[in-house]
Amino acid sequence: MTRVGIPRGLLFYRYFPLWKTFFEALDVEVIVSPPTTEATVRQGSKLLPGDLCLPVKIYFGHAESLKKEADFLFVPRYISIESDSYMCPKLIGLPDMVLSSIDLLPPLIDFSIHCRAQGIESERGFYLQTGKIFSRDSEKIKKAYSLGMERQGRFRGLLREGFSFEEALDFSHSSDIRERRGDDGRVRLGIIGRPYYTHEPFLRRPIFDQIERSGYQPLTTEVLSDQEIDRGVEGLRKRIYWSLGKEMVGSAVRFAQGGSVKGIINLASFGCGQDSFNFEMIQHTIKERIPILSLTFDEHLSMGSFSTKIEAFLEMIAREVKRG
Amino acid sequence: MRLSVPYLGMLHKAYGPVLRNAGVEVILPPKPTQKTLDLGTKHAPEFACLPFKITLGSMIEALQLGADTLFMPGGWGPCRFGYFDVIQEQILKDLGYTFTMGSAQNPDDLTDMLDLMQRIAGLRSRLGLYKLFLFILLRLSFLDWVSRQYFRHKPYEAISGETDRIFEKAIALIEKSLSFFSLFKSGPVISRWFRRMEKQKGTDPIRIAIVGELFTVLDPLANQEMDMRLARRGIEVLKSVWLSDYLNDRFRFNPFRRNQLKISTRYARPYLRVHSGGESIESVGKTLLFAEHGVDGVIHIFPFTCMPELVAQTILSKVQKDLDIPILTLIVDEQTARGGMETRLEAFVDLLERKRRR
Repeated sequence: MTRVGIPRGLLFYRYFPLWKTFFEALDVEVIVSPPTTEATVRQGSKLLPGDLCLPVKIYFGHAESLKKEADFLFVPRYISIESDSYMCPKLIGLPDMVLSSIDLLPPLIDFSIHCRAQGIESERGFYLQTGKIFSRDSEKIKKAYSLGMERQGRFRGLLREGFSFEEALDFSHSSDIRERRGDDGRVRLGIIGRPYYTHEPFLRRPIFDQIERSGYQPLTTEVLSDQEIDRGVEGLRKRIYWSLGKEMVGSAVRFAQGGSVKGIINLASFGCGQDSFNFEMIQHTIKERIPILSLTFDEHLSMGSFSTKIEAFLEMIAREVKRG
Repeated sequence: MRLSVPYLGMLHKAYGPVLRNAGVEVILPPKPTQKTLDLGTKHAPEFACLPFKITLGSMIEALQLGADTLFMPGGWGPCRFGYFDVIQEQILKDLGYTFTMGSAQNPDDLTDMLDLMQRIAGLRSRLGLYKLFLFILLRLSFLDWVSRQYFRHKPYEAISGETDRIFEKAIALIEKSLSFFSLFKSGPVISRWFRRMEKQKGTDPIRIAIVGELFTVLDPLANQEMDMRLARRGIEVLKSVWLSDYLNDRFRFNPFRRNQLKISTRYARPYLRVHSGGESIESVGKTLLFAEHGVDGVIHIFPFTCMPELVAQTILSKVQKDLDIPILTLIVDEQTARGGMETRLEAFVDLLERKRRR
């Protein structure tokens, strides 16, 4: 059976259920690189210029480790996921960067997703085109795509209910309705960041563990629906035309307005251009009195320094909550 | 209404006299200095790029001189430039300045751009405005052409400093040309000056191409006048981007000049197939084009935290290996020291000279 390799990084944390279901419905075996470790980061850093951000380095570490086993490497080019918006330049140039930095690659599946363009480059077109590599039966490809979308929908639904990435991945196999992770009375914190921060176990675990250990409930941007996020950014003078940035700003604003979230933690890359502006917008737009902490990641990160910062931040929130 | 546009290359020489002539009150921003950069850095977000910081500083200086309308085109794309106007307006208003920020819906669209000009310059006639806009762009392309002539002739000059004198004279002549007629007449005159210059025989100068992000390629503070310093050492300098080309690719005011973006896209294709924002595709495409034309080396300059150029940098490291062409990467920010830059340039030129001798 043909094996498609999917590096465990970047938009893996958003679209994996769709990708996996789609390929498996076409009788293609999906292999995913093992979870991120220190070695992945080292591997990726070796391949790339120093100033690139940590998630990209992690992605390259994964791509490197997969190249021997896979018959195809799945590196889609995400230009835009909604009209008149863009993803990050590195996501747009990703396949070209992979081709320039990694030797002896299997063939890439690197079509573009550009939602401004109709037809071949729209999301549906992307999957139909990808499917043609593995099957001549266009009905089967369409079926695979709709199966994938169904599962993706369930997955997003579960994330909105407050399940973690791993749980949502698991439960989205079946359409059984899961109990909502109700309000358990814990004080809630909003964790703002791109999906490859808030769901990447290697980066999130120490932070989320510490928050939960201290008795707080972390919420990611995915607990809010698209409409909710649009409401968060509607008052801005100019719309934010970076889809992931819009999510971050919109959810931060909604968390602050909602009142049940008592603090916001922003996870960002060292030297991330878009996030520096997004964070500026967050600080400028939120008028409510809510503590905000920003944590900046790079490949020399030591979680120890974060833990002190988070501890102080949580103490401050505890005082605020007590005061009412 | 007192209008000001942040300093960028020779832009102020193109629009200043023309707008004044049309009765608009213009406040020309002073040439950026270390103080401009310090002002911008102090108030900008931590990871904002050098162009953001310098233009912000330039705006503050213009506001202090009494400007009440600022121009920052806006737009949207993967690069951060489209959001400059919003963040800069927020920062400046928080600092207590009162002014109007002039930005366009879509600066790549001529109608939107004319609307913007109409608003911030307070001009009535649409046809007159169109002519004015076209005239400013044409002047800009003449100014860029003079710069290109300067870099082409400088390495061959026989009398030290003569090219610089002609350059100054030519810029002054274009600045004075306030009608289409006199502008077009100045072209042949300038070209004759350069042609008649006394030249050294038998020199074969080292040729270096400067590619990278538009602002850092053009702005004398951002690149520490790297281009002029190289030229003065007898090196022929070529550049991947010029402001007039950048605008011509969008507005086609000079239909006889080829679309540089299209050329770059065609050349970049084997390495970078999609425009990933900013000037990434120009950096890759023009490097390949200049390499084909036999330059000795390439300098890739861009601001720290510039995401599109980081994509280009990753790809250029492969190009460098494939074509065996030396590429010097310069990442600049407010901490880039003058001495450090000088040393790196020196070492790079040495390398090229040695390579040539072999």
